Amino acid sequence: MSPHGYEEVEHTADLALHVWGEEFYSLLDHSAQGMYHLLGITMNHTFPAEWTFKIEEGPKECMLVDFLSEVLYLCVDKKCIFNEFIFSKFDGNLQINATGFRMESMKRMIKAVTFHNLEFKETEFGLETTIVFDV
Amino acid sequence: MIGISINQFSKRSDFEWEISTDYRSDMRVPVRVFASISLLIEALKDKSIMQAVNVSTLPGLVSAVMVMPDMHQGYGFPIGGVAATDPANGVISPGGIGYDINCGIRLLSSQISHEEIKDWVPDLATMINQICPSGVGVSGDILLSKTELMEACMKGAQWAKFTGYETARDIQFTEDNGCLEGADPTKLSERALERGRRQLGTLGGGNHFIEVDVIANVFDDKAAQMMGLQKGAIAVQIHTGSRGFGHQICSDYVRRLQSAVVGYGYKLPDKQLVCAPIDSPEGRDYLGAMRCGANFAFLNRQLLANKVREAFEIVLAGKVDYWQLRQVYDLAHNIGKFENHTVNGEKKRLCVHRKGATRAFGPYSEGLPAAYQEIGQPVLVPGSMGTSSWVLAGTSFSMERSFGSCCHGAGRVMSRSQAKRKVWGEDLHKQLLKEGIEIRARSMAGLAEEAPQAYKNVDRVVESVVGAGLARKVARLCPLIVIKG
Repeated sequence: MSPHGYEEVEHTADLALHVWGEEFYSLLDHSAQGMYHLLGITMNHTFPAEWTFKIEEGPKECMLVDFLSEVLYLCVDKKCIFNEFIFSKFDGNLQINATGFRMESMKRMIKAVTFHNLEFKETEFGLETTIVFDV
Repeated sequence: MIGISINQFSKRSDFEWEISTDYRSDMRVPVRVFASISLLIEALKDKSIMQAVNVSTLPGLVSAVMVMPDMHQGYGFPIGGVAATDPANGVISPGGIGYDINCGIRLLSSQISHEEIKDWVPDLATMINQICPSGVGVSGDILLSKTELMEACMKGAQWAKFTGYETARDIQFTEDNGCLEGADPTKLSERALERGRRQLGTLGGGNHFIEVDVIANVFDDKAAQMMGLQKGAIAVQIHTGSRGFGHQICSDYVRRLQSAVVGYGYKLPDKQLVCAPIDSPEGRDYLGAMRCGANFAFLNRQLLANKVREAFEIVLAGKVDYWQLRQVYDLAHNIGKFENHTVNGEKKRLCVHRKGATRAFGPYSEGLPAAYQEIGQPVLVPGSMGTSSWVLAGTSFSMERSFGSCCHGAGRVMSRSQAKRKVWGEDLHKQLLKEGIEIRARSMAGLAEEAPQAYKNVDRVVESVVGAGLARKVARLCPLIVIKG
């Protein structure tokens, strides 16, 4: 298994990512880094970026899609890439403080994060799932 | 093979196959596949048929779920899928329309012969590439206010009239006259509106393209003449959709419906198939928002068509007599619409989901322009970069067998990473140039992902739909210029 916590999975038309983590928050972090990998992102290290956003607490599948959708939006529309996420629970929401850099370039587009066959599995190492992205 | 074998199909004809509801206990209707035996066997290598079986579990389906021969695995619905539900007790599923709402094709014809412009093809490629904003996350030169965007969502391609970008013919020769009724911008999220404001008049990336073609063959003289297609003349295809605006609308509603399906008591085999009754608050809201996305896409192709016209004028005015481009047709291949169809001898209004499938209405169908009443609707089937594209015409048989639907392209067979492992972008670029095809692409890796080898042979796909009787051949186009985002 890759040390990054993610690996690309073959999909005929779209893109898929197998992600895992010791617990849910590390899985969220790995899934964001995996998505950046699929997007072919490079960062501009001279321009730091910081963002705070919230997602509603609920089923893990919904939280994962909400989190990645927000990270995707901040990447594509706000040109911000994050290499660190700090998660804290706040008033029924999960608050995420993200720090990183401005985007320098992106090789391909991801349109959306899908719920296709999205299910979490508990393993001896923690949690894992596979996410399909529409491209 | 993944879970399903050829033995589980019953043969209806050489190009039509069916899986009955006996296959799985939660199927409500059969699955009908239009394909040659060889394309069907190839399709069994991915999950497309299994995804169609999943779709057959949706409430309120009136007839079989259809799958076209360009099918491939998607997310939730297969690409190439068609499903019709009854508005009285059926559902609407955002995943059955897709994130790129009203992704579609526009075809423009000309009286320019290939011979006349041979020397200016590279200049034309450069000019189109320069004028038409394309590529990942690229914004256009039109920045709308929120109010203007909301107005554009209501008017679709007709909004362009106020900016001088539209001709009456363009509107008349666009599916639904370039505007779905019932668009409701109050059902859009702030984020969707924010994303839409900056992306009008842009091509995007991925499999979207602008292609200048030469008409290589004409198979139906009368239909070709009615469509303005002459052998040896130049034509232009524009393939794009609703950009980030549509992606956001679909994301918003797939998310919202995750909890709604629990309330409606639907048990679905895949979370991406979430849906709501058509006549429910969620269903009505999604329809209002989705139609905004569809109208945005019609307008987006309208604006791009005019940029291409501008490029033709800049490069060719004074060099050829007639450089103008005339609209043949513009159609959607990711859409959900209410249409009248006959089911078991009874005429009914249905909600038809087309996900990677093209409307292919036969002669004398409702909604066709007068010029196409006799010949049927043009069906535009782009090939993969470097191969043929086809213009077909819808048939009466398609109205009976597939809710007036047909294939939408070649269909992928290879994953993007597999394509990049097998094809080197620079080599492909050189190869296509050697074949006389000018390519303008933002990235060589992106070009490799879209290599012809990554797709099925479009000619085989077309043979299947023609063999099945869903459409008939009108003309075959060969590429001269391909602009990729």
